[in-house]
Amino acid sequence: MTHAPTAGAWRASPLRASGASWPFDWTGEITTMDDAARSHRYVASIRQSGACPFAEAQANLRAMSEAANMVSVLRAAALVIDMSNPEHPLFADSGADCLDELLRHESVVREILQRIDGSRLIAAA
Amino acid sequence: MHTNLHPPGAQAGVRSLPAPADMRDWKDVYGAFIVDVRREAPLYLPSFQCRHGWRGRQHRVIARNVHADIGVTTSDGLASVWLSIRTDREFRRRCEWVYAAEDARAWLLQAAPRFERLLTVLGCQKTTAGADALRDLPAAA
Repeated sequence: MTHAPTAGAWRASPLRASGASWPFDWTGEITTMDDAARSHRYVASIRQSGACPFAEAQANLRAMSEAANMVSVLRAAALVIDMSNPEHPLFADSGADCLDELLRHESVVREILQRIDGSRLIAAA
Repeated sequence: MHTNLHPPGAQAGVRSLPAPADMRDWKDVYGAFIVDVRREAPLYLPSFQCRHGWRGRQHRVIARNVHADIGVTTSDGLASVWLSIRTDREFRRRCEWVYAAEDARAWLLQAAPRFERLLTVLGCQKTTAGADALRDLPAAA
Protein backbone atom coordinates (compact mmCIF):
# COMPACT_ATOMS: atom_id res chain seq x y z
CA MET A 1 0.00 0.00 0.00
CA THR A 2 1.41 3.38 -0.96
CA HIS A 3 0.53 6.69 0.59
CA ALA A 4 1.05 9.92 -1.29
CA PRO A 5 2.39 12.91 0.60
CA THR A 6 -0.11 15.64 1.43
CA ALA A 7 -1.23 17.29 -1.81
CA GLY A 8 -0.39 20.84 -2.82
CA ALA A 9 2.62 23.11 -2.87
CA TRP A 10 4.50 22.71 0.37
CA ARG A 11 6.06 25.80 1.84
CA ALA A 12 8.14 26.53 4.90
CA SER A 13 7.58 29.28 7.42
CA PRO A 14 10.55 31.29 8.68
CA LEU A 15 12.56 29.66 11.46
CA ARG A 16 11.74 30.77 14.97
CA ALA A 17 13.56 30.24 18.25
CA SER A 18 11.35 28.30 20.67
CA GLY A 19 12.26 30.54 23.60
CA ALA A 20 14.14 33.65 24.61
CA SER A 21 16.79 31.85 26.64
CA TRP A 22 19.21 29.00 26.09
CA PRO A 23 18.65 26.15 25.50
CA PHE A 24 16.15 26.76 22.70
CA ASP A 25 15.17 24.91 19.57
CA TRP A 26 14.73 26.18 16.06
CA THR A 27 11.17 25.55 14.99
CA GLY A 28 9.69 25.86 11.54
CA GLU A 29 6.40 24.88 10.04
CA ILE A 30 5.51 23.30 6.74
CA THR A 31 2.08 24.03 5.31
CA THR A 32 0.55 23.23 1.96
CA MET A 33 -1.25 25.54 -0.41
CA ASP A 34 -3.44 23.35 -2.56
CA ASP A 35 -4.53 25.29 -5.65
CA ALA A 36 -6.82 22.47 -6.80
CA ALA A 37 -8.69 22.20 -3.50
CA ARG A 38 -8.17 25.93 -2.86
CA SER A 39 -7.18 25.30 0.72
CA HIS A 40 -4.29 26.03 3.06
CA ARG A 41 -3.46 23.23 5.46
CA TYR A 42 -0.89 22.34 8.06
CA VAL A 43 1.58 19.55 7.27
CA ALA A 44 4.27 19.42 9.94
CA SER A 45 6.36 21.25 12.48
CA ILE A 46 10.10 20.78 12.28
CA ARG A 47 12.07 21.20 15.50
CA GLN A 48 15.84 21.38 15.39
CA SER A 49 18.41 21.88 18.09
CA GLY A 50 19.33 25.49 18.81
CA ALA A 51 22.94 24.30 18.68
CA CYS A 52 22.55 23.98 14.93
CA PRO A 53 23.79 27.13 13.15
CA PHE A 54 20.91 29.24 11.87
CA ALA A 55 21.89 28.96 8.19
CA GLU A 56 22.19 25.19 8.44
CA ALA A 57 18.88 24.88 10.27
CA GLN A 58 17.26 27.01 7.60
CA ALA A 59 18.76 24.85 4.83
CA ASN A 60 17.48 21.74 6.61
CA LEU A 61 13.98 23.19 6.79
CA ARG A 62 14.09 24.16 3.12
CA ALA A 63 15.18 20.64 2.15
CA MET A 64 12.38 19.10 4.21
CA SER A 65 9.78 21.35 2.66
CA GLU A 66 10.77 19.98 -0.75
CA ALA A 67 10.14 16.38 0.29
CA ALA A 68 6.88 16.01 -1.65
CA ASN A 69 8.44 17.46 -4.81
CA MET A 70 11.46 15.19 -4.41
CA VAL A 71 9.19 12.15 -4.14
CA SER A 72 7.53 13.03 -7.45
CA VAL A 73 10.93 13.47 -9.14
CA LEU A 74 12.14 10.15 -7.72
CA ARG A 75 9.03 8.46 -9.11
CA ALA A 76 9.81 9.95 -12.52
CA ALA A 77 13.44 8.83 -12.27
CA ALA A 78 12.31 5.31 -11.34
CA LEU A 79 10.16 5.28 -14.47
CA VAL A 80 13.21 6.10 -16.61
CA ILE A 81 15.15 3.33 -14.88
CA ASP A 82 12.31 0.93 -15.74
CA MET A 83 12.40 2.11 -19.35
CA SER A 84 16.13 1.36 -19.41
CA ASN A 85 15.80 -2.12 -17.93
CA PRO A 86 15.49 -4.85 -20.61
CA GLU A 87 13.77 -7.13 -18.13
CA HIS A 88 11.09 -4.62 -17.19
CA PRO A 89 7.72 -4.54 -19.01
CA LEU A 90 8.16 -0.80 -19.60
CA PHE A 91 11.52 -1.33 -21.34
CA ALA A 92 11.93 1.12 -24.22
CA ASP A 93 14.60 -0.02 -26.59
CA SER A 94 15.70 3.50 -27.24
CA GLY A 95 18.26 5.60 -25.39
CA ALA A 96 16.74 8.72 -26.94
CA ASP A 97 13.30 7.98 -25.50
CA CYS A 98 14.80 7.45 -22.05
CA LEU A 99 16.75 10.68 -22.33
CA ASP A 100 13.65 12.56 -23.48
CA GLU A 101 11.69 11.27 -20.50
CA LEU A 102 14.51 12.27 -18.17
CA LEU A 103 14.87 15.76 -19.65
CA ARG A 104 11.14 16.34 -19.31
CA HIS A 105 11.76 16.73 -15.58
CA GLU A 106 14.81 18.95 -15.87
CA SER A 107 13.09 22.20 -14.98
CA VAL A 108 11.36 20.65 -11.94
CA VAL A 109 14.70 19.30 -10.66
CA ARG A 110 16.42 22.64 -11.17
CA GLU A 111 13.62 24.51 -9.42
CA ILE A 112 13.85 22.19 -6.42
CA LEU A 113 17.62 22.65 -6.22
CA GLN A 114 17.27 26.39 -6.57
CA ARG A 115 14.80 26.53 -3.69
CA ILE A 116 16.96 24.31 -1.50
CA ASP A 117 20.12 26.21 -2.35
CA GLY A 118 18.97 29.48 -1.01
CA SER A 119 15.90 31.14 -2.33
CA ARG A 120 14.21 33.07 0.42
CA LEU A 121 11.78 31.16 2.58
CA ILE A 122 8.20 31.91 1.71
CA ALA A 123 6.65 33.47 4.75
CA ALA A 124 3.24 32.20 5.76
CA ALA A 125 0.60 34.60 4.52
CA MET B 1 -21.81 20.21 2.86
CA HIS B 2 -18.63 21.63 4.31
CA THR B 3 -18.78 20.25 7.79
CA ASN B 4 -15.12 20.92 8.55
CA LEU B 5 -15.05 24.61 7.86
CA HIS B 6 -14.65 25.51 11.50
CA PRO B 7 -13.68 23.80 14.76
CA PRO B 8 -16.53 22.05 16.60
CA GLY B 9 -18.61 24.46 18.64
CA ALA B 10 -17.28 27.59 16.96
CA GLN B 11 -19.28 30.62 15.90
CA ALA B 12 -18.47 31.03 12.24
CA GLY B 13 -19.21 32.79 9.01
CA VAL B 14 -18.38 31.62 5.54
CA ARG B 15 -17.75 33.26 2.19
CA SER B 16 -16.31 32.21 -1.12
CA LEU B 17 -12.97 33.59 -2.15
CA PRO B 18 -12.84 34.86 -5.74
CA ALA B 19 -11.44 32.26 -8.10
CA PRO B 20 -8.55 33.76 -10.07
CA ALA B 21 -8.13 33.06 -13.79
CA ASP B 22 -4.92 31.20 -13.02
CA MET B 23 -5.43 28.91 -10.04
CA ARG B 24 -1.77 29.35 -9.12
CA ASP B 25 -2.73 32.87 -8.06
CA TRP B 26 -5.16 31.51 -5.47
CA LYS B 27 -2.54 31.90 -2.74
CA ASP B 28 -2.51 35.66 -3.38
CA VAL B 29 -6.29 35.83 -2.99
CA TYR B 30 -6.01 33.82 0.21
CA GLY B 31 -3.14 35.99 1.47
CA ALA B 32 -5.18 39.15 0.90
CA PHE B 33 -8.10 37.68 2.84
CA ILE B 34 -5.82 36.83 5.78
CA VAL B 35 -4.54 40.42 5.75
CA ASP B 36 -8.17 41.65 5.84
CA VAL B 37 -8.96 39.43 8.82
CA ARG B 38 -5.84 40.57 10.66
CA ARG B 39 -6.69 44.22 10.00
CA GLU B 40 -10.39 44.09 10.89
CA ALA B 41 -10.47 41.65 13.81
CA PRO B 42 -8.72 43.96 16.34
CA LEU B 43 -11.08 46.80 15.38
CA TYR B 44 -14.15 44.84 16.46
CA LEU B 45 -12.53 42.67 19.11
CA PRO B 46 -9.64 44.75 20.48
CA SER B 47 -8.54 42.23 23.08
CA PHE B 48 -7.23 39.93 20.35
CA GLN B 49 -3.61 39.87 19.36
CA CYS B 50 -2.14 38.36 16.22
CA ARG B 51 -1.13 34.81 16.88
CA HIS B 52 -0.10 32.04 14.57
CA GLY B 53 -1.01 28.41 15.13
CA TRP B 54 -3.10 25.52 13.92
CA ARG B 55 -5.92 23.41 15.31
CA GLY B 56 -5.55 20.06 13.68
CA ARG B 57 -4.47 20.34 10.08
CA GLN B 58 -7.22 22.58 8.72
CA HIS B 59 -8.02 25.33 11.15
CA ARG B 60 -5.54 28.16 11.19
CA VAL B 61 -5.43 30.39 14.26
CA ILE B 62 -5.00 34.05 13.34
CA ALA B 63 -5.55 35.87 16.63
CA ARG B 64 -5.99 34.99 20.29
CA ASN B 65 -7.12 36.59 23.51
CA VAL B 66 -7.33 35.18 27.00
CA HIS B 67 -10.57 33.30 26.22
CA ALA B 68 -10.76 32.46 22.54
CA ASP B 69 -9.15 32.10 19.14
CA ILE B 70 -10.12 33.71 15.88
CA GLY B 71 -9.19 31.61 12.90
CA VAL B 72 -9.64 30.90 9.23
CA THR B 73 -10.35 27.58 7.53
CA THR B 74 -10.34 27.10 3.77
CA SER B 75 -11.76 24.36 1.59
CA ASP B 76 -12.90 24.19 -2.03
CA GLY B 77 -12.65 27.94 -2.46
CA LEU B 78 -14.70 28.69 0.65
CA ALA B 79 -13.20 30.52 3.57
CA SER B 80 -14.64 30.41 7.03
CA VAL B 81 -13.83 32.88 9.79
CA TRP B 82 -14.53 31.44 13.20
CA LEU B 83 -14.44 32.36 16.87
CA SER B 84 -13.92 29.51 19.26
CA ILE B 85 -13.01 28.91 22.88
CA ARG B 86 -9.30 28.20 23.28
CA THR B 87 -8.15 24.61 23.40
CA ASP B 88 -4.41 25.08 23.75
CA ARG B 89 -2.36 23.58 26.55
CA GLU B 90 -1.91 26.84 28.44
CA PHE B 91 -5.68 27.42 28.51
CA ARG B 92 -6.45 23.84 29.57
CA ARG B 93 -3.90 24.12 32.36
CA ARG B 94 -5.58 27.33 33.52
CA CYS B 95 -8.92 25.48 33.50
CA GLU B 96 -7.53 23.08 36.09
CA TRP B 97 -7.12 25.91 38.59
CA VAL B 98 -9.82 28.45 37.84
CA TYR B 99 -13.20 28.52 36.11
CA ALA B 100 -11.57 29.66 32.87
CA ALA B 101 -13.90 27.74 30.57
CA GLU B 102 -17.04 29.19 32.18
CA ASP B 103 -15.59 32.70 31.97
CA ALA B 104 -14.68 32.09 28.34
CA ARG B 105 -18.17 30.88 27.45
CA ALA B 106 -19.73 33.90 29.14
CA TRP B 107 -17.34 36.17 27.26
CA LEU B 108 -18.13 34.45 23.94
CA LEU B 109 -21.83 35.11 24.44
CA GLN B 110 -21.06 38.75 25.14
CA ALA B 111 -18.76 39.08 22.15
CA ALA B 112 -21.10 37.37 19.67
CA PRO B 113 -22.72 40.58 18.32
CA ARG B 114 -19.32 42.18 17.73
CA PHE B 115 -18.09 39.03 16.00
CA GLU B 116 -21.17 39.08 13.78
CA ARG B 117 -20.36 42.67 12.80
CA LEU B 118 -16.83 41.52 11.96
CA LEU B 119 -18.25 38.74 9.78
CA THR B 120 -20.42 41.26 7.95
CA VAL B 121 -17.43 43.52 7.27
CA LEU B 122 -15.46 40.55 5.96
CA GLY B 123 -18.31 39.59 3.65
CA CYS B 124 -19.05 36.36 5.48
CA GLN B 125 -22.47 34.88 6.00
CA LYS B 126 -23.04 33.55 9.47
CA THR B 127 -23.43 29.80 9.42
CA THR B 128 -26.27 28.00 11.13
CA ALA B 129 -23.67 25.90 12.88
CA GLY B 130 -22.35 29.11 14.40
CA ALA B 131 -25.80 30.01 15.70
CA ASP B 132 -26.22 26.52 17.09
CA ALA B 133 -22.84 26.74 18.72
CA LEU B 134 -23.80 29.93 20.45
CA ARG B 135 -27.06 28.44 21.70
CA ASP B 136 -25.24 25.32 22.88
CA LEU B 137 -22.40 27.18 24.54
CA PRO B 138 -23.64 26.97 28.14
CA ALA B 139 -24.11 23.23 27.75
CA ALA B 140 -20.76 22.63 26.12
CA ALA B 141 -18.16 20.91 28.28
